[in-house]
Amino acid sequence: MIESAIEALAIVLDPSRLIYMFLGIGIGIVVGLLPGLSGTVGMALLLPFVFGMDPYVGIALLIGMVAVIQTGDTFPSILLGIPGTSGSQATIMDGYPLAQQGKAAKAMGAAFFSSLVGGVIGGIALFLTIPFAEPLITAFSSPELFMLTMLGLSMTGLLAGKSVFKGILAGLVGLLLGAIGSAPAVPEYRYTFDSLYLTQGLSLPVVAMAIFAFPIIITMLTEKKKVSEVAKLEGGALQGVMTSLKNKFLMARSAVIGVIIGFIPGLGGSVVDWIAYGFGKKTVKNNTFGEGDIRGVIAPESANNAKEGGSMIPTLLFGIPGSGTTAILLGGLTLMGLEAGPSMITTNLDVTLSIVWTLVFANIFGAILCLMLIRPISKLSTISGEMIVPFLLVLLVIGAYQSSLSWGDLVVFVIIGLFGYLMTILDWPRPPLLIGFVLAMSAERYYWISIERYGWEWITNPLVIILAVVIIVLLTGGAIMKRFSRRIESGGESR
Amino acid sequence: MNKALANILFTGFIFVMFTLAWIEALTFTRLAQFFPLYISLAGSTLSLVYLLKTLIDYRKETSAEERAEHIQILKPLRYVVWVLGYLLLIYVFGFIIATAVFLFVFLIYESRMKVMQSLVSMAITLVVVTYLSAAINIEWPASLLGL
Repeated sequence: MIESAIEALAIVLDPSRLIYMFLGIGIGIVVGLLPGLSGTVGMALLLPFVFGMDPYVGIALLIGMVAVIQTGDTFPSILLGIPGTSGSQATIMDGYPLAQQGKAAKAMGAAFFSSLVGGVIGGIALFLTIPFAEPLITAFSSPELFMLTMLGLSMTGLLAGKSVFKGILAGLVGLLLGAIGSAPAVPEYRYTFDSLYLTQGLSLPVVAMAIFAFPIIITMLTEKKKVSEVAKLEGGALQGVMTSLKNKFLMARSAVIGVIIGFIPGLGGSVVDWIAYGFGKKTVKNNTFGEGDIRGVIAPESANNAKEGGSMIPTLLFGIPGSGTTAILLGGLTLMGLEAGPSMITTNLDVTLSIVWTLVFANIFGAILCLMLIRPISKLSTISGEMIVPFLLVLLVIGAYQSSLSWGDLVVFVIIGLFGYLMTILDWPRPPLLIGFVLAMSAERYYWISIERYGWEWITNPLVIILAVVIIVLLTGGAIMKRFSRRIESGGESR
Repeated sequence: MNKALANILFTGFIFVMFTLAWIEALTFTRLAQFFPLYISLAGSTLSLVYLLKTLIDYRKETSAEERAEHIQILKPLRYVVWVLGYLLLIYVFGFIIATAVFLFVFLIYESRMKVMQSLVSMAITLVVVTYLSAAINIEWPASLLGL
């Protein structure tokens, strides 16, 4: 396999193919930069061009683009508090407060370096998993997938902020919004009120933009403020890179979470950043997550790039796409005369290994390019709200409309945006709503399949029990540790 | 408006929303029903508990200082009207004309930009979005006039 890997490296580094990788990287960064456009849009855009292409060239283009979307989407998340794609929602939690403190460049330096490391770890994970991927994938059936969605939902408790009531209610609102549209178990529409648009359910990019972007544009205008209230931008990108290096274990841990979540088909990449953020919040000592802690940027950024490597495993080896993006990638492989499945690790091993190398190189080149763009782009945060908001609104309208090319997207954007604005001014946490929305469909589907297929026996599955323990530890661990440390402190004082 | 009172009204709205969703869920068939029914029931119960808690807190514990904490209504409403106006313009005249008008008027009236600067900013934006539309196949919202 090492020999094949070296051969694949030579193929990838062929100048004629490198050009296409750079083209893919450029498109990926632009798609990531524009709020509302996702990897699916980028893939759909490039798909017509790969028909009949040399597979190595086509892969350089497609994988080059996919690998860096999660890097480019950091710009709007940190500078404007608007998720560039659904995979960078959690980056806002600390990235935007850092930008408000004039530390946008530092935050982005840390984010891009973490993305680079996460992406490379994702590529390595893909390489290492090739020989024994099958038993791992088949270990996850619907009960385990249901427990994983519960693990994601438990993050609502961690992100509830000061009021657990408000956090749980926001999560339930998200779950209810996610129930709009067709039911997974039967051909029946729910809460559609005879609207054709609602039969497809609400679109994630629209809900994400509405809940995060709309309140920010109204707040920036109302309070007549800039993103950064500090006139001088403190800290450079290099400082961010150094901070990431200091938090190497957090970066590595988050990347592993990203690989695992990406590896599991059907869970969706939209939740990976939240899970990494939640784990980071629980495991990092003395953190100020949510108030501008740079480690709150490192964790999700490392995870969302690592996810891409993980998601390639079921896609390439079993033809199971875990997301819209990988589903289109499967179509792209077919157009280039390849077929996903066991042949990807036998007769087409060189193609699979060229994907590994492309993932690694695209992440490195993409991060370097973004690091070079930090200085000019971070100046956006010092422009006053009144100057930047009208242009932002134009961009948001375009982005929201691309979801289903329907006016319903714009109506939903305004209605949920107003709801999000009220949540903002009344101190209700917004991330739990989005987590609930993202996981609603998976939670319902996997619960229903588990019950229909296994009755209640699935509860005794070893992997289900392990995941349940992880959830309980996550939810109660913090409180127990706090009580424990308080007891030690009070004991120390009494002596 | 008093922030604590606004929070009570908002919680009340959420309670009504969950309750209506629960009533609606009762009309679904069994397999379509279980998820929204339990979610809305949990939401309805929890929001009622929270509503009662905030009402009690409001009557008993809210200090005069906290009661004095107000949230702005009219100012945000003004910008919400700008957003709605922009969408209405798109609906009637199409994306390009609406964007040109919205940007020019907003930059002059709200951003206090000079006419020339506003015109140049507007023109650059239109060129960029038109180019993006052609380059990566982005579509505009449909309008009444078909523009």
